Amino acid sequence: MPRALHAELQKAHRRHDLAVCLLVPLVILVWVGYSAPEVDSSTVHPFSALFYMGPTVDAILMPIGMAVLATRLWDVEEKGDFPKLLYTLQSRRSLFAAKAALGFGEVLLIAVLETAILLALGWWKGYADAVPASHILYHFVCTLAVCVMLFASELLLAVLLANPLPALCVGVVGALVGLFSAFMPPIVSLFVPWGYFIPLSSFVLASWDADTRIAVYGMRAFRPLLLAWVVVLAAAFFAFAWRAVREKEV
Amino acid sequence: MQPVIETQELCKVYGQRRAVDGVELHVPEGCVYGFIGPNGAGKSTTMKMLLGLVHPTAGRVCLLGQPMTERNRLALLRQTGSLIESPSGYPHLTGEENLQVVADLKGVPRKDIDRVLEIVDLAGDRRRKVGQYSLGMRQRLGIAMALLGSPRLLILDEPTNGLDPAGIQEMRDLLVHMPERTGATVFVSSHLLGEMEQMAEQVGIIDHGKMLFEGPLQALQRHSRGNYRLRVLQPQKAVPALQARGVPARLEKGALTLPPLPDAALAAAVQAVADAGAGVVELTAHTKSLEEIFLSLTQTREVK
Repeated sequence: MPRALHAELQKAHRRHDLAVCLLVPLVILVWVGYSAPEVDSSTVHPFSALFYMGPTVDAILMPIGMAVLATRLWDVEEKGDFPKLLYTLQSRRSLFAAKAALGFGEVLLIAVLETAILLALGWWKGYADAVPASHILYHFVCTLAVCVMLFASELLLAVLLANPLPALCVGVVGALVGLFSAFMPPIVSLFVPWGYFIPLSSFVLASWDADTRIAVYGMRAFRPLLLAWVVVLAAAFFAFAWRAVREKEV
Repeated sequence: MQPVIETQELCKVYGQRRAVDGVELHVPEGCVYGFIGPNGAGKSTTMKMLLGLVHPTAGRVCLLGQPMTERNRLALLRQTGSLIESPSGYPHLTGEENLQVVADLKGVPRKDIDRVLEIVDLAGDRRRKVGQYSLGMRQRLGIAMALLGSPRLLILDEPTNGLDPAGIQEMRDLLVHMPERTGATVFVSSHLLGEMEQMAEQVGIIDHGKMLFEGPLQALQRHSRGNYRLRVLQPQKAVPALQARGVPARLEKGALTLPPLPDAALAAAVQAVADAGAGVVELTAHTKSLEEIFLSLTQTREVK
């Protein structure tokens, strides 16, 4: 496994994976930073507003970001016509495990940066409302879980179809569908995995007064069942992707 | 001597189609073995089964004297170099970086990269991205990857595909001298029969998934010895003399055509024609090219 992971890192050289991992949080920084409420605005609990905004932006960016990362990870083998040589040098298990580990590392980096950016923006803006550490941790875990699940589903598509385009298209369409699902009745969002960032979020818009234009943000209970479902989905997608790698004849 | 490749009743079925049908290979150590067959004959599928890339529907593969199992497959393949169909190469990495990936996975010291780059004459292009390589260069890079770690066996599927004539000649020279230079056995496939005549000592012919012939190249040429052409002054006297000895002869363009005969029978037939007073002028043996031999073997199978 260390040898296989080392090989994956060698292949990542000049593939600009790190740039993708930094670009996604950078866009979040610009987007959320631009939309972040000012301290003296009519927003009550602006820190919560920031964490409310995060998942919405995630629902747009992450499906595309995950599709890009997953397809690049597998497409490098297809473009290089390498599987038929690789499978004589290493086991399929070690190849898949190394790719999954590298992919997980990249997704983890993005999730860490995303949460760090939201926190940094709040402190920089001088928001005084306190967000409990448990909610910050929950936000991070949910972001990571949904990103990993999306990454695994895109990896599955890339392996099955041996072509990055369908997976990228699914990522783009998923981003749109995921976002729209947030404006549908809550039950609808449960059937749209790309948008799971939003129903999983523990931050809500508690009230909005059209006359005074005062928005009050708050927190709600965690949704462990939905989070568990995301983990199950992620595991299932990884299992199917592994099966596809194991059984695909080259 | 223990064969380095041995297969028993190797079969691969895709749906209703038998891509490989009971192939039995016996590749002796230290030779260049030509695996010949037209496109779609089952060469690549057979080679992929040798490397464990395709699971056989039935049959057994022995590599380097050991039956190949899922457990020992990689250990056996670490002593093997392969190039199947098109060459592998990450286009965003340089030739040297590609070789580093393969060397590290094979557990071969990186200093071996210099050696293989010299062998395939790519040392000057080692720092160019593979995406900028010509097909010939990629082919040579594929050979270099196969040569890393001085494998005991090289399995190369049509390695001259896409090369220009000079590249084909270079590749031939490289492969012909491989057994003496590195001690490796070379198992190479091609649909170009003339190419195999210049490279291989042992040959196997496959068509429609079935082996038609396996043995030394000379045996193949002997096996399909051509007709004889006997030119005489008076054919009308020669024909009865030959028929009396049970040798069928037919008159074509003023000369008699005799079927392939053992040397003793041929000598006796010519003696009989001379004794009959036909006036023997010339006897020529028509040697079939490998192309004709191959065609006759495949046609024989089709007739069956």
